Amino acid sequence: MVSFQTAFFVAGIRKACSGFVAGIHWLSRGIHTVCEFLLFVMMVTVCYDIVMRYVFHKPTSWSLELNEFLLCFFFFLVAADIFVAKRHIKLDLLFARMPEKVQTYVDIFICLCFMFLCTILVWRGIIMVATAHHFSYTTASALATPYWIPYISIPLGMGLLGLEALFKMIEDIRHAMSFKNIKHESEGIA
Amino acid sequence: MSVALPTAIVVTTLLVLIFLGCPIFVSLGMSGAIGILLMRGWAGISQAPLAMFGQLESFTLVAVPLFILMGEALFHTGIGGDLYGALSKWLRGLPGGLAVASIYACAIFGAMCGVSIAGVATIGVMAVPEMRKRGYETSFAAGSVTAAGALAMLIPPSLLFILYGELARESVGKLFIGGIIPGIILATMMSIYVIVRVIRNLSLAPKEMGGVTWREKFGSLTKVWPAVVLIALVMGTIYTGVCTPTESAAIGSAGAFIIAAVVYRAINVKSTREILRASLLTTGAICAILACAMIFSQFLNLVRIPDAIAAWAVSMEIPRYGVVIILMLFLILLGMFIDGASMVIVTTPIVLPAILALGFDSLWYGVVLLINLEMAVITPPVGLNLYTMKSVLPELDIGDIIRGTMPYVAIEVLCLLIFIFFPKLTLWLPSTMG
Repeated sequence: MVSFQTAFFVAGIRKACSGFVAGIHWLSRGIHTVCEFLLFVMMVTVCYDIVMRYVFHKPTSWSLELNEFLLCFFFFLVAADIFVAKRHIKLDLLFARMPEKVQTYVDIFICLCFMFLCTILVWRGIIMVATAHHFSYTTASALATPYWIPYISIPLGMGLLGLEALFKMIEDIRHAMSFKNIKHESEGIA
Repeated sequence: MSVALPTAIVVTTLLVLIFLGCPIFVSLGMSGAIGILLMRGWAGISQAPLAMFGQLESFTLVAVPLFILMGEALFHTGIGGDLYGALSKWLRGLPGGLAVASIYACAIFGAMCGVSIAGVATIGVMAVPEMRKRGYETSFAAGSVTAAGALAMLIPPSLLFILYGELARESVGKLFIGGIIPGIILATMMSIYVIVRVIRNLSLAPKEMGGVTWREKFGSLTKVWPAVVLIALVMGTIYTGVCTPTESAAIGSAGAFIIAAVVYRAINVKSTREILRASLLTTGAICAILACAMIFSQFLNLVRIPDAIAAWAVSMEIPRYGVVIILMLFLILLGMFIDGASMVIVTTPIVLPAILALGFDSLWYGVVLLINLEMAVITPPVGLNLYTMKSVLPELDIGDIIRGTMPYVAIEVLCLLIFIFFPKLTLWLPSTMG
């Protein structure tokens, strides 16, 4: 009876975990899709500002500020999806020549580096958002945008990146353990 | 705490992480963070996210995604093939005419796209099989496209100039205009090399039989001219000072979408999403390096590395051009392993103070740096263009590609020396800007 309950509990935890992972992937992709749209918005708004400036002599007060913030979003919020797509710039000269087993261990180490960096940025990012919100920091422009709005992209984006790195690391650890199982099995056969 | 030990730890960490295959931005952020922690403790690292945010919060940098968008939209149309087709008709009469056409096609496509591998992939996939079919030697054909693809980094609008301009606080518009003459001269030097080699050894590229009528020549321009006019418009607005580079980039990207929709009828919801997705992935990858380089720069400034290098450069008892040559050799070596964008972002804060201390111009250095980086993408072991050529034409031998490309490294070294010793060649055109 106890073993049935334990198995049920473990299955529930597994289901919740896989749901959580799927949810984070969905969120990363969703944010990327929103940023794709925002890139188009960036092009349109800069063009609109040019027309207003040179044709109607009424430049917008918001285009410059909006697009500066959008650029920040394009790093912080898109980083997780770029990680999943393996599109970050890197030098894989040595990595490509390593045996698969070593590659897996190196991948685990790299994921740890990601998580270290992301932890610092999420931690300090949350403090930045809280401080900007608490002291009502705003931009110096006519828009007076509250700074916590663009700042929130830092903990959110880096949090997602850190989680994606964690999921990748768990996958890599499982993969590394499969090497050991194969070794044990082959020893058993021998 | 002495700065020697933290500096050694940080540099070792950076190199180990990069060579292990860790993304450049994580390598920079991680090593910089470790350095700051060693020097200032947790309090020192508290400003890291703010510094990263501040680095990206720049209207000049908004030009980066917009120029990438322009390039992606034009790349999507297949205009590279039309461009090569048109130039091959116009230049067929020259010795090695198809190779010369591929060099200029890469140069013009580079102006549209700004990414070296895009030129190699687009032009290479058409030009190399065509040249081989007409009896061109394989390594000679592949080398011309692989090397010329790198011109995209130098010929404006170039992404690397925007990154350099932002880091060096130099006018991006002036850098763009400063890149025009070196780009034209380098493309011309490459073409002269092709012509001279073919004249001396006709077996490299047999003479073309049968001419091309004027009707065919002008007919080939039909689809190409709008994009060429767009590039002229983008550069013209920057040159005359009518628009900032960011505004020109927005005009360029909107114009590219219009050309893709009207001339090529290649725009629908699916293709638009593909263009936006590809642009965003590239933008994000570049911005990541730029942002994390700020953490690394904070550490460098903390231990005063740029000042130390500047002092070393000034104190050396050799002519100042000798110091520049030493720095250039170092950059060529580094470029064999690291991509252009990372090179600009990582080395500029370190090397530029030394260049300025020696009395050189930062605009001149930016152009010279990019001529230097032309070599980075065509030299093994990490020559991106070499492997791009291999990936689009797997039937080619990588040895043939490398052998065909190596003479162009010598041409680029010669070009680099010309622009190092004659700074006026670089500075004249920007000095006439409106």
